[in-house]
Amino acid sequence: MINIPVITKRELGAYFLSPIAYIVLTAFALMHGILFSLQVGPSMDLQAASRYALALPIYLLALAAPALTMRLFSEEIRSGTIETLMTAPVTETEVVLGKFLGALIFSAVMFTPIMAEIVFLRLLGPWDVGPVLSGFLGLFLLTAQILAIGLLCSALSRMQIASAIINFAILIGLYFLWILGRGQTAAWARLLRYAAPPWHYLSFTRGVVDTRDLAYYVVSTGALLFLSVRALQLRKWR
Amino acid sequence: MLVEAKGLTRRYGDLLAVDHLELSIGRGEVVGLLGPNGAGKTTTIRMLTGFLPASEGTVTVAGYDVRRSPVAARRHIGYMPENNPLYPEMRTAEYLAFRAELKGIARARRRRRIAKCIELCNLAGVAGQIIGALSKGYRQRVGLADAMLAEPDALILDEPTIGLDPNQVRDVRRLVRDLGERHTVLISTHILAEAEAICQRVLIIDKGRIVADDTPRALSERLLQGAVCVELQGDAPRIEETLARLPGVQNVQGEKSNGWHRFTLAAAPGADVRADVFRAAAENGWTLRELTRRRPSLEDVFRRLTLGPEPGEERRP
Repeated sequence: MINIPVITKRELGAYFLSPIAYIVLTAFALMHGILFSLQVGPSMDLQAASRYALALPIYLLALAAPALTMRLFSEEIRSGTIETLMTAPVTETEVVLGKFLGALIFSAVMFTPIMAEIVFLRLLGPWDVGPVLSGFLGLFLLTAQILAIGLLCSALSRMQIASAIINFAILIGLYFLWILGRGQTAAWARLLRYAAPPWHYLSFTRGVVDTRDLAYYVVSTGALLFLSVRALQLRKWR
Repeated sequence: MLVEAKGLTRRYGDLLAVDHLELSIGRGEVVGLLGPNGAGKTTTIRMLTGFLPASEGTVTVAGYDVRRSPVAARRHIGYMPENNPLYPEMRTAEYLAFRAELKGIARARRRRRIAKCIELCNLAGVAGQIIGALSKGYRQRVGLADAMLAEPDALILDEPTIGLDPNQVRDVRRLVRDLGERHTVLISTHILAEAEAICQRVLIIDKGRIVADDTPRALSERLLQGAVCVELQGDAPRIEETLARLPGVQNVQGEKSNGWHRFTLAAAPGADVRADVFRAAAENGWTLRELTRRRPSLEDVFRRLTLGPEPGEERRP
């Protein structure tokens, strides 16, 4: 596991040297800022505004995550650097975790506008910051899971575009489960909802840290990372 | 044995790319892996380095099985893959620093090793440049510098001179030859002159099997006779018949070009038939324009082993 930080460092370096990363950072800040300012007015209560600031990334992540994860493996497979990387004395697990951490840290940078908005809201008046803290925990877990989906897509394809499109389609599918199951009480609806990433996140933004939600994210992220390791070991990318 | 492969086999679907290949390379050897394109060179090398899992068979490097203890085995290998893939957005020194850290070179030694490899590969002038902007020759040297960074026991280089201009080819060959003094080197190539210039031992691979394994000189001497080229003017069938009857001539191949007839004589090993050819020409009054002996080259060995006998070579007039 000693090589994880080495790989994370290189991944972060690669992010900040690529135009796509700056496009994603700018687009996220702009879209989040515009959507936030459109919704928040003088009559809105500050607590609700903070929750809204944290709910927005649900949608923005579906757009940003494929752009952030598509190159992680696809680029190395296409250019052949995967061969120099995997013949160095490192394990597949180290490579997968190193790249995953790189993407996660980059996402944290991407989320700085949200923190700025929250600080701004707090300066306007007193409100309970508890739900914001649990919200950030939830955001971290949601992001980790969504990046892990993207990482797996990238580990299966030599084409960045293909990996991004497949990743986006999977995310749309998962979000659709949430929309279908929302507000219904039937067993099937609860099942659909339960599979959907955003549904678990929303309870975090309400200040509820439920172990079932925690387990959902931890187990699914772990399983996705494990599959990425396996995909990398098989070396059967298309 | 530093690198040893036993029954190494790789299938891609129905295609048998490498077929129960046996290979062993001792410490200090400089070995060339030769073969036509598609013979299985890259697949073999990828299995030796542990990048590609073998369908069957085992590979050990310095005693470590590349499948069972991949990390330990890889510590003994410096590998430059085909086409030398690098990260184009990184700077040369930055890339080498990343690779040194990845290869687990201790911090205290890292700076020294990077400086040493930059010096050996003549990269000082481009240490601060972005790899994507470097010429192919420089990039190749960055790949070589990376391969030798951790002072591995075995250097495995897959077609290190492909796509370079003649000057760059000479530079890289010189570098590889120098490396051969301190490391065990396995180099794959389809350029025979390269193997002849660099290697003490040549393995010729065809259809996934080793078809020859010897020194370049022994290979050409053992497998091919010397050949003599002669160009004459006269009655072609009669010339051919006379030449074929000369002592030591094993076969004659003719080819006609505007009045001059060109013959290639295959001679028995050790026989020099040039004087006899001259005398025969003089006696019969044929005009002689050319008479040269061709030392059998690795090229011929290669063609012979990988394509079978040339058409007409077995024919006797």
